[in-house]
Amino acid sequence: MAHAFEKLHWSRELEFGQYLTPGSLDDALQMLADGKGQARVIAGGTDVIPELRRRHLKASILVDITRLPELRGITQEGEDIVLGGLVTHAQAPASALIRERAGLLAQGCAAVGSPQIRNLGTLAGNLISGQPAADASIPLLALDARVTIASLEGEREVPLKEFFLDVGKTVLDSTREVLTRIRFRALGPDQGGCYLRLSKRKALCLPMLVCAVQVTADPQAKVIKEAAIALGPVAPVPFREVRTEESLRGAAASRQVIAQAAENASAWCSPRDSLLRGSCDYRQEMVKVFVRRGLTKALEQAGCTLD
Amino acid sequence: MFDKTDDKKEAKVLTKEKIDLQRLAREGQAALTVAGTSVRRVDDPLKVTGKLKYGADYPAEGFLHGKILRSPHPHARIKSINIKKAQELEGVAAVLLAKDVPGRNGFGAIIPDQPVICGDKVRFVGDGVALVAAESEKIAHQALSLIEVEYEPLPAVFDPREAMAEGAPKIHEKGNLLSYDKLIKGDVAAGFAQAEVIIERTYQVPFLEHAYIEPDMVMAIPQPDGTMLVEGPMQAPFTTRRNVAPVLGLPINKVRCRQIHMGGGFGGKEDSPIDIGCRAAVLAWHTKRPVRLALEREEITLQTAKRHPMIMEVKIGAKKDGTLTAFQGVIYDEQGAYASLGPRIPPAGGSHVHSMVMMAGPYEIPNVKVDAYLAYTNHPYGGAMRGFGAPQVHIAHEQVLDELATELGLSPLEIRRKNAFKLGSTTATGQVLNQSVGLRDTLEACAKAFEWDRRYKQTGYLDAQRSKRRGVGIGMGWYRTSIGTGFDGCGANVYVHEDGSVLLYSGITEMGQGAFTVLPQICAEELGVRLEDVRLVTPDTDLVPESGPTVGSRSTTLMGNAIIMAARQVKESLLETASMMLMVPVERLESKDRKIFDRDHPEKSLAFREAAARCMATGKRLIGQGWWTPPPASLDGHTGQGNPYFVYTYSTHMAQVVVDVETGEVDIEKYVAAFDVGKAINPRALEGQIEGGVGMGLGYALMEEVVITDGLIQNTSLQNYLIPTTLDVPDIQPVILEVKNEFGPYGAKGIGEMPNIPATPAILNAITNACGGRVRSLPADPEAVFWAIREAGGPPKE
Repeated sequence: MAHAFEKLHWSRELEFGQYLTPGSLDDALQMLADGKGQARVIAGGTDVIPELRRRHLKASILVDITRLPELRGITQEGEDIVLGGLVTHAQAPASALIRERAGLLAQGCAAVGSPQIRNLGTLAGNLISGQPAADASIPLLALDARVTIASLEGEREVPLKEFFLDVGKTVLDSTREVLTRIRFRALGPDQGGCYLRLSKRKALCLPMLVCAVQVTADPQAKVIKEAAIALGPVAPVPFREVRTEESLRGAAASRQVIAQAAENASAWCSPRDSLLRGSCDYRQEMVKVFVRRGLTKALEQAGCTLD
Repeated sequence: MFDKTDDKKEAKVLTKEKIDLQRLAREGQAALTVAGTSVRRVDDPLKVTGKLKYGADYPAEGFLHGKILRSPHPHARIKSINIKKAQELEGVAAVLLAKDVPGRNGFGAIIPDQPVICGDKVRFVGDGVALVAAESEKIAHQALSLIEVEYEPLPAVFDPREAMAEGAPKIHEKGNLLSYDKLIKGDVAAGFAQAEVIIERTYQVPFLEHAYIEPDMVMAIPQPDGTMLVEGPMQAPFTTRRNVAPVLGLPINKVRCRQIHMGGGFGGKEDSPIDIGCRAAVLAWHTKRPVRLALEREEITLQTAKRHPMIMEVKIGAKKDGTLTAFQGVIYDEQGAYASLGPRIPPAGGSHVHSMVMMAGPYEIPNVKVDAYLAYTNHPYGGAMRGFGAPQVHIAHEQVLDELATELGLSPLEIRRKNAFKLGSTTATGQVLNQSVGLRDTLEACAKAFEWDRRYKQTGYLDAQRSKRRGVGIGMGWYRTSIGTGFDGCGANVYVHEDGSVLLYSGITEMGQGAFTVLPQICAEELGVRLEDVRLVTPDTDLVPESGPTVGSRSTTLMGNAIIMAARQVKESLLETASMMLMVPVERLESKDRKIFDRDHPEKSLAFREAAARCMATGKRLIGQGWWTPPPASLDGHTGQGNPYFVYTYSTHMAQVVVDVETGEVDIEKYVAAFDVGKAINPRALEGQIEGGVGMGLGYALMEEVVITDGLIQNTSLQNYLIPTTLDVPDIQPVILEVKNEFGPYGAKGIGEMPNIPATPAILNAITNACGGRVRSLPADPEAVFWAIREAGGPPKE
């Protein structure tokens, strides 16, 4: 069996034609439209540049959106937290609002790559890359985030549950659209969240498993009102364990219930066998451990200490 | 840390042997002023300010860019190659095939069995089938894609045992068994008959990539007189020259190899500059233009040498009190496609022989038998990597010893106290260790610094949920200071100038280990000048004497001795001249800190430079040349008995880990590493060696593995080939002991490779102590630890 030329030969040179720096979102959208499918948005470039180098991606025009003021900032709108499309993995955990009201997202962002990558890479890029275990995507999915997508035709808002289509594929067309905002509800006092990650080393390492949990509880009655469990990579896209979530709605906040939920989640997940990132059997076992630990910690944060 | 006075006292207390150092250093360490001190490394300021030029920093203008077309098949016959389209591409200067190699179409550190350009067949995915030189990297890359090669795939073999089996596909004409060596001491059958407990285990280790930070590159620059200049980050310029010359069909004196500062080598840059150096030189020879050949990270992983993978079968027997009676080992050592540094260089060179010699460990065992097989396969090839065959066998003997101790109900400390080498011990090769044996000292010093007794008792669960459990482990080791071959000599030149400044010529290369500081320290010490007075000449085969390769932890000791000998020749004329100037007999003169003075009347003195100026003015010799060869190595070809290496460094490591018994994750909490180094010439630099080495050993234990499917490496980039980050490496506490080596400069012996060797088994043993499971096939990544716990019937109850 012959292996592909591209897997054996490498060149350092990047290939693209124009590099454009629009001054406004409208300019950017116009440039993309003018590119007629040959243009690509570039922000942090931590995925785009390696993809160009590996020739997985071809783009004759790169539209650099990093100078657009309308895509910056982390703000609170009522009970919602809104992140601009340029918010980086370093900025999110540096925000007290994110740390206090969306701790699981802060933890997920801090687990990405290295400081250099976190300084450049954006959360929007993390979503658009569509990787099944992306460290910011999994907690955002557990937080029921929605994203705003702009094009020359106007804006649309998409819940993350409907955003991911397949490995590396989302509903966003990055040859003509820009992800401008990410919005989700801040965690309240009766809510808790947890982010867990399993990898072969402690930094700069793709995960074997990522799990993010959000719960709403009634601490007095010791009842789980709502639970959101996001996992990756257990499917081609970041995955919400909906059946387990449903089984937990209104259930007692007890170790027994959680252990059962963890068993169920594990049985319903089907991670791939990966030579580099662990067997299916192992990762199913880890889903069990992580869902149990994640629910336990999130409930503790929501004020429910388990017996 | 070494700087603590406690450890220094400890070192002296533990220095039991009285060694006569007259042979090499006139005075004891108390009188040393430059050697033995923690001076800052001379290259540090250049490195941290970014001023130091690495290969990639050299401008590419005027150079053609070389590229290699690699085989996509692990094993295939080449039926035809069409290079027409590639040749016609604008900007292509040369497309070369096997027939275009002007001289010998083969290279290799030991046997030239690897084609510069494959002619008839390819033997691994990555084998070079054509070379291209072009005006830009992009054009060169494009040209590669235009070369059409027709292959006839042949059955491939990927396991050393299968490769040795009858009817296996023949990779080389002479057959797949490259080397079979054996070691026989005493009578193992009788030894096992005496044993009250016998256990048998098999351990397996994968290919490892060096992952040096700096990617390989080389520049081949034809000179007007027909000489070929080859420059690059290279660990062994003389070995590179020895290969480039015959490949070009030139005498050795028409090839000049010059070292560029290296960003890490770890043994890997002993081989890789031969590979790309020969190829770039062939392109430069044809085009008559300078050629630059640089490898991308992925290409380095695909193409260059690795640490040998091994399957090691071990049987060990002991009395109930822990006294070892017999050890039997079988090594299936996978060489991969080409011989590189695997096979024996008589008497005791080559990684495969080194593995065999070291396999029974640093323990007194009366009966030992080792059968060592080295087989070709269709994988990338094994070469030198920090420890040269020793890290693998340490993983076997240190683990089996712990497994035996468990059977016997002894602690890991007790079984090592019982059996470890001491002064006068006989090794598995029958060598009597008659000097500088500090192994037991390292065991006791390490146990003390680590607080072994307390920690060993305090293992157990950390939390009420019983998810995390703590454990401790020991790894012991030994390592040679030489390469065990006949040509293990080192030459040095020392030139003193009329102003007292000094040039030191040595062929030992700097790859981050500190040689460019330690060697001038020795030179300054011996002459009696300051470190800043000595400038080291960058290794260049046209300028410096043959020094052998910078490998085998040999530089400080072997080159240090050569420098002392060279310096003494100059010092002799300096002191004679000073004697006349001061009217003091030579025997009373001493040279220290730029002054030559009367030992009995120190006020009678003159400046070092005054004596140097007078020597110059009166025609006295100011040039010295030293040549030092270690005591001859021996190893019988049939019995594996003899004295393969003249001295050994010894070490004990202790690790405390916490294992998440539900996920298999491992966290290292505490780490102490003790070494008998003979004499620390630069203690601070030595600590650096220790910390880097332990990090490397940790990677071997927990995460490193070249993953190969159908002959193709799946993790070619550092995104997927994992080495430890700063967050993975714990605080490492070094303990330095000095049991003098009578053959070393000021008593020194090697340290470069030793630190990573016991680290791997120390961590593996600690993992087992913590979670009950044992990973016998590396790496012990979370999944492997998880299944090992399952296999052991679950984590410990308490």
